[in-house]
Amino acid sequence: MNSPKNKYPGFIDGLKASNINSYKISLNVYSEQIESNISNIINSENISLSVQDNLHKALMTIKSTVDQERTATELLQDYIKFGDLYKSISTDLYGKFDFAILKNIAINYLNIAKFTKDTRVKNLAIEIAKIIE
Amino acid sequence: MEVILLNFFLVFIFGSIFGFSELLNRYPISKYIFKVWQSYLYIFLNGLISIFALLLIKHFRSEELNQISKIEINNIIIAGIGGMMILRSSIFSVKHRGEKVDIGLGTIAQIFLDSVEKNIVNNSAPIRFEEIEKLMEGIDFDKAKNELSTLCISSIDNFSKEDADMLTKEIENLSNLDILNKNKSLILGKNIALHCDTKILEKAIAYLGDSIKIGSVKIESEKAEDIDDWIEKLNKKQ
Repeated sequence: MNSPKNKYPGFIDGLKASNINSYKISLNVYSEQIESNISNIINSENISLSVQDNLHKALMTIKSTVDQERTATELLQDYIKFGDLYKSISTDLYGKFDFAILKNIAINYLNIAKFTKDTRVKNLAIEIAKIIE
Repeated sequence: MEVILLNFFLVFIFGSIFGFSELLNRYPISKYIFKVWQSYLYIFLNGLISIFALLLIKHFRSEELNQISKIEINNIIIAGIGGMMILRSSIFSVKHRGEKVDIGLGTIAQIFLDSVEKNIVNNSAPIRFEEIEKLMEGIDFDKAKNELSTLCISSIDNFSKEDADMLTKEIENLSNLDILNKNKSLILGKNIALHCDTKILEKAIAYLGDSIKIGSVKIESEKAEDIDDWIEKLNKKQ
């Protein structure tokens, strides 16, 4: 018999997965917009190689979220990974690129946070927004 | 004579407990079981059949009833269990229009159980509707669906994975249903109460207060970290 401690988190995970599955189409749209915006800045000479490397990783991560086969848990991990990577380079990007592009990425990621209803994604999204505020 | 009656009484109680536990097992909303007279009759019938089983035991052992001089624990236990078996037995089964029909006392037990179930559902539905309608009045489904369900579930220690999956699925289906918010909230309340009981739902609603009500205004500390506010702030920035 499972202990209650093992049972309860199942409900939270289920609820999160249900949220993500319900808004999968919208989440894909935001991911695609982020992907398109990052593609516009990725090959710029204005940024260092390490930033470019992280930007590339972030692009790959956000690309993987559009995959229909990804489960809700995998999607959530991808969104968190993207947020972490993008936050780490946001300061370097700010001021060097068209503000409209950075703003679009931040807004789209805020929307992802809104629909996933995950606190970690939300915190990352707000931290990214604060950098370019 | 008193000892004989005491034996009958004990076997009746033992058999009734089996009947009662079966009802409890079948119907999770136990408080409604006692509002239906068929439940009492079913429990009584279980007790009665157990007495019958005791009589059979005495008969097949060729023992006279008046020879009972003490409380016969062994016979009481066997008769209690035996009564349960007799009431759920079927002598044979026939096929009627492609369906298997059991012939025996099991059919009678099933008729009672079906009747109890029907009456429990019929009696509890309006009472629950009224209770939950009052509780869920003015509650915003989108604000409440995650808050209320997690809070109610977290207050139950032995919440099973099956129940959790079922509730999650119900909430997901409800979210995707194009019906009035008022209606969604009522169904949400009903679904949560079914798994957690109305009392817990009531406490959770009281605890969450205005934060899950329609048109509620967020308190300042929460507003500063609100996603929509950040989107608005960035949109204004050139």
